[in-house]
Amino acid sequence: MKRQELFDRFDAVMASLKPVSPSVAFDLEFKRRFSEAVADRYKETLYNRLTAKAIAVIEALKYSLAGPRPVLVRALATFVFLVASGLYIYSTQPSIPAISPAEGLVLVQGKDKAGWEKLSMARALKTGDVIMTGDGAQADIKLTNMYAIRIKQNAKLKIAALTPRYGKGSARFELIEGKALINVGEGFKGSKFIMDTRAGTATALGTKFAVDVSKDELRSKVSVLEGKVKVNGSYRPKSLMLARSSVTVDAGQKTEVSVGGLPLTPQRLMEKEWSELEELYQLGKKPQVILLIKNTPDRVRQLLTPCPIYISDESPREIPQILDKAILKIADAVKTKDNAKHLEAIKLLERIVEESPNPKYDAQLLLYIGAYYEYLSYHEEAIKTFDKILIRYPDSTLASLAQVAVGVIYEEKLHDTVKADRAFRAVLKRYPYSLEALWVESRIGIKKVS
Amino acid sequence: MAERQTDEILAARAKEGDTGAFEELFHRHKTAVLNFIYRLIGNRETAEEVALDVFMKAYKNLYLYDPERKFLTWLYTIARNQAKNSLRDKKYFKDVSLETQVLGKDEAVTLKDMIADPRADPLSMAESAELEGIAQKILNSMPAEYREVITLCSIQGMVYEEAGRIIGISTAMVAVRLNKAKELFMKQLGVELE
Repeated sequence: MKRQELFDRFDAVMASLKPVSPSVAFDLEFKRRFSEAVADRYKETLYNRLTAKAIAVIEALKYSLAGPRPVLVRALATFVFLVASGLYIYSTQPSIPAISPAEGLVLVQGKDKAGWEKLSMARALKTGDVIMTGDGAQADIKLTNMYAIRIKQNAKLKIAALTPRYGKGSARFELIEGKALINVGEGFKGSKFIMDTRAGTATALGTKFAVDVSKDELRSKVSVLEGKVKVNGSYRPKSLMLARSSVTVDAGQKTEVSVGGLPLTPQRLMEKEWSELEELYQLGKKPQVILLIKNTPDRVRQLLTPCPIYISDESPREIPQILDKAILKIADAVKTKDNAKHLEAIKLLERIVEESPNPKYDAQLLLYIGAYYEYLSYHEEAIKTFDKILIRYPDSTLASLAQVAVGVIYEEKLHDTVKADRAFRAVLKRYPYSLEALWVESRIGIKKVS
Repeated sequence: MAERQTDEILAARAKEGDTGAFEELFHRHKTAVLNFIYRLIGNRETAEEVALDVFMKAYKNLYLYDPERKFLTWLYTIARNQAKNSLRDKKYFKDVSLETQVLGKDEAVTLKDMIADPRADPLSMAESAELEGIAQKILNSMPAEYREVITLCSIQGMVYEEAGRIIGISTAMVAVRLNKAKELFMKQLGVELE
């Protein structure tokens, strides 16, 4: 084959080598490593600045302490300097907000960690941590009396900087994607709260507001419920150099900013947007599950009647949504007097305790389930349920109630006086100062075991 | 709509601390850099790892970047070095002797017929998955200096001058090396000069 022909054939073979496309994991890994590199770069700059300052201070001190001063004066000066430095270093340590999952799958990636960790209980956050929420999930970040952030579903938020433990400073967060609701409290006055997005920056001027980053991460929307928020574009093209770079968004207004652009003139919030923002008023509230019984020694009688239960849970819900189904099922079962439906309702309530255990409501719900079984004459099941409280929450103020309920069922329904007596004595032994101890004493004349 | 900025402007902005500018550069060049490395080392998974290292190294060393120079040339120089380090460290492939036969007898015969046939349609050759696999296999077996000129000039379509800057050799040297590389490649395919 001739040279030219050979080279033509070579080109044809080369054309068969199709380009490969980067995988999704490639982009994600870049994002992770890049944000780490950015944080390192920031830290490095800060470290260099601090080192330069520290050297300057030491030099100045060396100069002032040098010379023919008495040893005692020098020692005292050194002591004062060390104590002051210690206090200064302590006070400049960052304040530590806590994050707790409200609903669904919430993942946290520590600054120096490669993988994601599932958030199952409240934990402290550090600068550099990244939080990611899944479909239908939410998480709340809270620094008591300072600020609270609710991260909505499918969002990603990074902790860029935290305020010092004492004194004023800046808390800075980066909303990479999704939506976050922010409530900056009175206690935070004098410090700066900043929420960055790829398109711009929102600085709170004492306020309740929300930031929403579009899916393509190119646009950010800022809506304000109370107070004011200053919004800046992240980058100003030369052609817009003379234009105003920031806008102040007042309560009841919103603005939008795109990557490379300027924030739009604030506009009034639509009614729907208002109502979405009202969720901000609920930030930090806890669920309430209360058994409607009087705190008297005979409360076991009220429990086994059975007693009503009061449940209130603000959004984001801590009690799983199966509760709604259970309530409908109970109503239906009562109406149709159908035992099978009652049992289905019980199973739903049991799923709440088993699948989403939470000390805030477990004991109350288990008592209610036990009383429910007893109401349906499933005595053994009722006892098993009360026993769960004794095993899982032996120190709960409701444990003595569960213990005495076991005794009452053994005595009155199963006619097992031995087991009933054992249960009653356990009340006196384990909970001698409880209301139930009084009831046991007066009812069957057993005295407290010393 | 904001006008598209040159790589050099974006790199200068990234150097000043604009992280968005660097992300833009990443999105612009990730596919090209990945393909360059993939063709050099022949392993897709490792190529992604190395490509990420390239971008991280570029970001960390931005302070060394001279905005007067073409950004892409600088990025490819880093990519070339990283790929070479990876080959050296992990020993994916060892350069084989120019006389070593890479293909099996049957493979060689079929392909030789197909490629040497003057009536063979270049389009159907380009679509052949079998040919693609074999071409990559041969590329992997070639000495690194040949692989890189083929990848830069024949696969990525870079001009000799730019390829020379990345590799650190003269334009004429690129042309000479590329011709030798082409001949060797075709020889491995079983097609030789008369």
